[in-house]
Amino acid sequence: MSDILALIKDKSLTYHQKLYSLGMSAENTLDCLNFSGEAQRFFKENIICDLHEGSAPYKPRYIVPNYEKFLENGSEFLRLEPPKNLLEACNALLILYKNVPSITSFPVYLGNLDTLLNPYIKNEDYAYDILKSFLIHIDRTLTSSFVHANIGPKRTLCGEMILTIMKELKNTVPNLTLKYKKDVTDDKFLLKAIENVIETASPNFANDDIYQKDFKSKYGIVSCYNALPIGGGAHTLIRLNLKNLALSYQNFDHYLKKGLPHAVKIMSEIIDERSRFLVEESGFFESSFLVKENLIEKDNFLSMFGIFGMAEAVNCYLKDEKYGHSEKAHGLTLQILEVLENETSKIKSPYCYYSNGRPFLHAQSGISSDKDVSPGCRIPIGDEPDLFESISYVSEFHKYFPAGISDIFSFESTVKNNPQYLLDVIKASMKKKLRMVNFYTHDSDLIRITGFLVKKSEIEKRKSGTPSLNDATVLGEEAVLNCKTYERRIQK
Amino acid sequence: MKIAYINKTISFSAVDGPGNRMAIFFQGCQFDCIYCHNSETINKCTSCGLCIKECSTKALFLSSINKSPGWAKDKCIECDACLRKCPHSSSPKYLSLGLDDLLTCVKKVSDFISGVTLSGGEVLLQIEFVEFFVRKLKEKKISVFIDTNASVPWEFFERILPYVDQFMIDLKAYDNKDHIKLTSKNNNLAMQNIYKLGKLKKIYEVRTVISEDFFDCFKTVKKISVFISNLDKDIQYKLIKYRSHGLRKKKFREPSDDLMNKLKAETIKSGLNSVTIS
Repeated sequence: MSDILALIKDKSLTYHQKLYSLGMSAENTLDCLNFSGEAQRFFKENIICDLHEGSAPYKPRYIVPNYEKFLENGSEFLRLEPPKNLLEACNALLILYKNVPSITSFPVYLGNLDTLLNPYIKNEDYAYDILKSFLIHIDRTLTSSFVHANIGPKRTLCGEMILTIMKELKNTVPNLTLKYKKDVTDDKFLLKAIENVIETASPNFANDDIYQKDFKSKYGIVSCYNALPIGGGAHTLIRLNLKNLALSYQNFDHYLKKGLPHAVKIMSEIIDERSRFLVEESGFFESSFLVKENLIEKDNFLSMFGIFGMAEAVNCYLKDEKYGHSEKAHGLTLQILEVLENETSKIKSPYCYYSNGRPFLHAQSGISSDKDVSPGCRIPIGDEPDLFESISYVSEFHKYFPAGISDIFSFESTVKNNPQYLLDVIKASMKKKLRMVNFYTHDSDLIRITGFLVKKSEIEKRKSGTPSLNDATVLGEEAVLNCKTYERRIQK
Repeated sequence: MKIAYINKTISFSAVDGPGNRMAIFFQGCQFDCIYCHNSETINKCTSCGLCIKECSTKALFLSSINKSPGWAKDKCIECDACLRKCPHSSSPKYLSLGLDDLLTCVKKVSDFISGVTLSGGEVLLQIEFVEFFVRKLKEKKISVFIDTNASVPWEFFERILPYVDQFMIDLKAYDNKDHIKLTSKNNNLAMQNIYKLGKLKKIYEVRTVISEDFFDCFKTVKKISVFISNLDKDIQYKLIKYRSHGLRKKKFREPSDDLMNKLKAETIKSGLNSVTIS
């Protein structure tokens, strides 16, 4: 009770942030989920973490509406006719966005904006003004860095306008990904996006060729860098701390053959229990207008199996070598990934409808309270080798993660005199089958934390007690402290 | 000769020409610039052995084969204590590499790079090797840029012109008296070679390091920019701020941003299409 009162009186939170936290507090007074003793032990020992999803899941963690269908048909529930022009289309989308739930309370996916809106563009100047207002509206009302829009892979007038506007506005919201497809995404579009990267640390670059192979239908990049089916989403994402699991197994062989399979079994139990409550008890899929109007379908949902702390887990089994710098470490990592791949492929969850019962692996980006444990399979911050070695090291890991993985690289600002450099690096990274890469220049105000963007200036303001509109600023502030974000190697 | 003395290779460089380039730094230079930021590339090792005791990780040892320092790269923490100790503007860490060694290095990163830039030291002092190397790179359709002070016989350029896409030239000063003060050599050969290369449209960029302690900055950049503008207005002119890092003990004044901007404005009047500050 005193925690809730403290929350109510917290002057560093906005009204919406308080409301959200109060909702979470209420939810967490419930005890609706039944876990085995072993699962509870895994939670207690921080081997498994539910990423604060809440004790009574009443909405899917991530929802990825089919915005194409929405613009084609309108919405009966929202009393919207199909839009006839750009202003109506943007207005309709904004209205729908406010009605899409998620773990953060804001939509984690805004659509492939350029392909959605390009058909409505008739007058360029007028379109520019509308798109600019649209994007400012998103930044000021969907106040979370996990709100994510996609563009590409083909260059369009709308895609170029969005990039121009976002470079001008320098906002942290929305998170933006350009889907790169070889022979479709031209250098002109890429170079324009690179100009944005140099100033705003955005967009991210996703490997469309690889992702599209993993999804039998269209996919979107959502939240940090998660990949999920359009018209569907994820019930839940929970994550396995590979480092903490390794602490129980002194012998790598035991870790591989006993520890991991057992952990996968427990993860599967927890995923199923959380999904069960959502699907069978919460009533979400029966009551949501998104389902009734086929903007999402239950059959397009799956669950996400997250992992993190790979570097520290592998280091437990090395003597004078380290993850990121050693072939032996690389080999151990691949062995762990192969086991995870095999064990998760055996799972037959009744709720992973989209993926024949199998939860998709996801290299979880970490949360701000993580200390001394690295996101996903990333090389620990401050310990990174040079760029070529870093990319070569992680490239073989990306294929295991259809639900998303990314690597982040920081650069000297001299790169702004040579954008072709980043073009070469992006294209080669895609050729080497990385799923997603993110870049930023170390002296820019916008900085990529673990997958989402925050302004350094907003972090500084928060330190003096001033509330920040963007919910994610708090996370950024914690991450800088715990995860040493500012110490990421600056590639020269 | 099919062995080259290589100070180091950098797999990815954003600052050695357009795009992502592998940069290969050759050992040896005929200049001795008072502000050299990588003076450990100037001379060959004399095997005096003074550096060996400086190494705290035992990465250096006396090689019994040829009595020159051996270097265990895996033990090196790159503290540069050995370089600071060296009285000969050299390094115990440069390697003797064959053609195949270097081609293997290039192949490893070839998916990532726009091309290769040869730098140093002064690359063209090892012309025999360089000619073979650039010919091979051209066969593999890899773009080649060369960083040079251009103070070598024109004949060296003639040998490699068909295989090198562009040159990037460090022109230290315009007036000979300034050039000799900075490098201990005159710039007659460099100016002649720049003229010829410029007319052949083989110059990507000319660079000059700026400090008020080196010369009259305004006069120098004006004369250089007019000179190169008359050859080819597409040559990029880069004004490099002197920075005091590097092993040279004597330090000079670092120019202010304001001065650099004024110098840039002065050079633009020459009609060059691109003038940048670095």
